[in-house]
Amino acid sequence: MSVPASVTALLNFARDGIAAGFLVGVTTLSLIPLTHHLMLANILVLYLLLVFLVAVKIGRRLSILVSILSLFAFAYYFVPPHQSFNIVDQQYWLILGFMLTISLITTHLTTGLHIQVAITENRERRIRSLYELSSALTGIVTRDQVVAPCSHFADVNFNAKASIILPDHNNRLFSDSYHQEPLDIRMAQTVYEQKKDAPAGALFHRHDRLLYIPLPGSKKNHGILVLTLHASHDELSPEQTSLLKTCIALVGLALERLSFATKVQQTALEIEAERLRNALLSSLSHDLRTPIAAMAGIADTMQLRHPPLSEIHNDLLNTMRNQMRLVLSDIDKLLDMARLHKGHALLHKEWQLLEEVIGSAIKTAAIVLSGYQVQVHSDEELPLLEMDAMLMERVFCNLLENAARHTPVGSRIDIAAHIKGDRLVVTVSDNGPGLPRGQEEAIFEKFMHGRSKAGTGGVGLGLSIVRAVIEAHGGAIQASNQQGGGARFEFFLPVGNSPFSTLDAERLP
Amino acid sequence: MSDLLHRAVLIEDETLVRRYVAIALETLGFQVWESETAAQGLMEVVSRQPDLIILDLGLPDRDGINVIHELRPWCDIPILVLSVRTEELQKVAALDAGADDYLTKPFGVPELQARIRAVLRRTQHKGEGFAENNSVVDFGNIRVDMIRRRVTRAKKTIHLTPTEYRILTLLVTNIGKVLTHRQILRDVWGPGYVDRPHYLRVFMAGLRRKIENEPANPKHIQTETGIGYRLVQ
Repeated sequence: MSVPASVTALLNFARDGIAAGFLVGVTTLSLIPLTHHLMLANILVLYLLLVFLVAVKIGRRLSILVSILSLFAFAYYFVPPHQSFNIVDQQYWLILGFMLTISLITTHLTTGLHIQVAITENRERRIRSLYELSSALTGIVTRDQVVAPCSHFADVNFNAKASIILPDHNNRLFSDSYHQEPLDIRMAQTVYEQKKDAPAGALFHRHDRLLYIPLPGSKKNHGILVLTLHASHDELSPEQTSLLKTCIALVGLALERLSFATKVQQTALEIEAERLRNALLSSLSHDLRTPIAAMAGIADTMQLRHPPLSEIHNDLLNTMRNQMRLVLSDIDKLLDMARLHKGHALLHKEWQLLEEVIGSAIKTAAIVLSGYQVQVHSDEELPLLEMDAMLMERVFCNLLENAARHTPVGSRIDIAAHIKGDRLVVTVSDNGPGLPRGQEEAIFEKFMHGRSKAGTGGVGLGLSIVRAVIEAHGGAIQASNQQGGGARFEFFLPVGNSPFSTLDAERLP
Repeated sequence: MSDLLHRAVLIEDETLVRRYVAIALETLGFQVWESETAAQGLMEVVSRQPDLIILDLGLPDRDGINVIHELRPWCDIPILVLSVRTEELQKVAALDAGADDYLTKPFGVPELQARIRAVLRRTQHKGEGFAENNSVVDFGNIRVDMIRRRVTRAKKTIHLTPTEYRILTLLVTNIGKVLTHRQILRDVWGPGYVDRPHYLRVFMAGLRRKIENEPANPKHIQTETGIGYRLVQ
């Protein structure tokens, strides 16, 4: 039911005219009996007072009408000759002219003041509600708490309902939180995914009476705000638009703060868990090692006594010592595995020489390798590699022990390392019986045993540790059988940007 | 060595370990004073003036590293540290504080005895100063002549860069002793370089290539992973 604009204007004008006529009429009627008691100037001032009051209390248009009608009433009833527009004295024209000017200026000034006050009040209200919103947002600790202050804000400032749709872990918006209006979730998703530097027009997306507004963070949007506009609401005014922009920036900031806070909390928890784990592992390692150390030491000490033990007792003691060494290496492997569990291991990376790591691994595994020939072939100038030397030493130790365990004494074990593109490729191979066919992948599983010499079991963790360490370093490993027989383990490690491109030592200080 | 009676103070809280270490020391001809705590151990050191201190890092009343810090300003008795394997950082800290060597538990008695002998040999030579027989050191087929500043391999002179030579002489004068990365970097490059172990690695690679027959399986310059280097005769 709409009325043409011109008709509405005419009706408004008629209403104002009647109101002005009424006001001026009442004033004139009450002044007429006083015609001979009041000076003309006082009557004039009373009319001006009326104009002023109307301007202050009601508004500009009525005030202008009142000033014009007052002019006519004053000229007709009070300017001699009375009850006629026939003004004899030219001075009166001047008075009437002044009256009109003064009343119009008064109207202009007072109504201007009105508007100023209204604007100021409006601005103050907006600032207050922004302040309320921001103080409500500072206190929140979960994302869902964003919604209530936003709804309140939208209700007060835009006369609209507000909803906030937040993404889940996969960056998909979920619309469960949105009940009141049917929502185009695809549109919401598009708006959510749009880039920060999208064209200005893309800030708001409108569909029916719904406005979809992204909530921007520094890197990506944190969700979207959906405003359901009131039916009579057509467009947002420029002020409302700028208010809305401030509002979404505030909400975006609050959501960003929350996401950072969550991350910080998570990291702190992880660090604490890691610390506890390491404390547990090292105390476990200490408590298991100490009694074994004592047993091994006592076995050694028995052999020192005089007179010397018989050969059979010596043999028994040696066996005991070897068994303890095996138990110890199994404990080490279990602890290593626990430490590497789920890739949570903290790597102590430094720029290392592979040569050194291989050398110390051969030294560490010396007892197991006695009777085997180990040969190392590497490029003359391997670059420095960033790795955890202790863990990488375990890799070589485990591969060497594995080779020794599955090949007869006297076999050859070769370690070769060379650069291929941006990778370091290392192979550890032997000339033993090779891997059981079809088991090339399975041998890396935990607690998996390959074919082995009797009595050299172990817990079957060696190779899974090898794989875990290499993967933690960003590499990969595979096992195969060689053409001429024997097992072959090949792994690669990324080379990275070595602090020195070559090992030209003389260029260093 | 067993003909002259050495004195040793053994600070270790595990009774069983203490017992067999004491027996091992006694068979080497040591008179041994055992103590369970750091406080008692320090008192023993002051009163007995031993030739050797064997110190466990995990003591009930104090960290072994603190004990070394407390000892070093006034005494240069060789200290052999005992530790549990996982504590690389602790070993480094102990060596940096001034320990002479470390042994990882469990260790064999023969190894313990060998380390003790090496430590004693070095400290006894130290007292004699650099006599002629000490200015020339042989290991393998390498001879380092520190007076003529010449290094030969199978009687042929090998050319070392000044830095390589300084590293080598540092290792030679501390033969048998573990030197931490930090100690070597400080002595060779200066205190400003202690956090750059990769410098050392690069030079060590060069040095090994000139000295070792099999640089990847070195006989003499041995790597103590995560800790430092040791020259073995």
